[in-house]
Amino acid sequence: MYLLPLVILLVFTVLLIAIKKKIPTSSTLPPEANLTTPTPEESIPLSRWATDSGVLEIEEKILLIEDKLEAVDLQEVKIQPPILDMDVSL
Amino acid sequence: MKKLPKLLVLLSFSLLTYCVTTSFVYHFSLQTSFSQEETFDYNRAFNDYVYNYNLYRSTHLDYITAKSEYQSYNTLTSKTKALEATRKMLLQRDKAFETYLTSLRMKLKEETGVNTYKQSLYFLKLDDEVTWLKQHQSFLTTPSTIEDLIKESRKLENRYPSTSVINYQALGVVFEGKEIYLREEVEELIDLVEKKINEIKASGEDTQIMERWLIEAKQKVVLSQQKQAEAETILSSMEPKDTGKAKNYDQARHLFSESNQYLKEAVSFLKEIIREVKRA
Repeated sequence: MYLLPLVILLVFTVLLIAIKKKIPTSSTLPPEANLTTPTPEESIPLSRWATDSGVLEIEEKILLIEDKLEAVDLQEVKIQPPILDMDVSL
Repeated sequence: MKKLPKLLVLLSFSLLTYCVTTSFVYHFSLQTSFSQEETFDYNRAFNDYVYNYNLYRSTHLDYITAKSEYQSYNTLTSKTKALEATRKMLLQRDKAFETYLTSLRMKLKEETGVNTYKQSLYFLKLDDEVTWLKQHQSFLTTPSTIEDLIKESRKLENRYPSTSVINYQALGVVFEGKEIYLREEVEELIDLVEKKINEIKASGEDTQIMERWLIEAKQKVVLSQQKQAEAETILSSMEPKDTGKAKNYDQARHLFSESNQYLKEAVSFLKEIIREVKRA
């Protein structure tokens, strides 16, 4: 009869130890673990033409014409022929 | 006596202020009216058209109501009302169409890249239509009989199919102008890239890939021209009796968009060439 509380206490203690083992003691990882391997910056070797004024001028013109080609209105919705009643009778 | 010079000074000062203000206001109003006359452009013409088209829609609603009442009651009062509503609507229909044609003309005038010959040709055609409409309006300003009004209405209705061909073709010329202007710019860019490639080649570097890509960019420009030519063929073969004019016009418009797409691809190729040039 006297052993029952002791058994319960023992089981409870064992369970508590087991739970404690599962929970990590510290939630924070060492600072080394948080570091991701930095990807080396892709540096494409540039030719001597990369800074050529003519090439840079062409590049600018390309950007300008790209904008123009994108902005051109080939619908002209506003100036479509009007809808007029062409079947008037009384 | 001492007060008199003070009064004189005050009076002359007031007179001077009045003169300066008046001349300023006069000069300013003159300038404003002059600049308003000067700036009859597409936007102004388009606003006129929108205003007149809205009036037309309003008078058309009145015409429908009056017509319905006349057909239901057939009284002299309803007949008179229907006659007046029809007359007003027909007059406004002419004005809406006239202002539309004028705005189309202004569009054609202001668009860069439009072929000069085609521009002059469509100016003449549109001007003829505007003149006709203005004359036609004079027949609609005074009250008339129902028969006379219907007769006048038929005149425009019979003319409308050929005028709508002019409208669609003129709009086609506008699109054509836009594409010509853009294509010329792309061609100039191609020339610049070609010169640069030749310069690189002369320095002893291998430019085979770039030259091949340049040929492909040029081919895109050719394809753009072909699409434009197809659109022009559809528009030029349009006839007044055609029932699917709007459909044909949409098809032409789609071809102009395709033509533009080829130009975009050509420019994207040029961009790749420059990326290659910059790479060691």
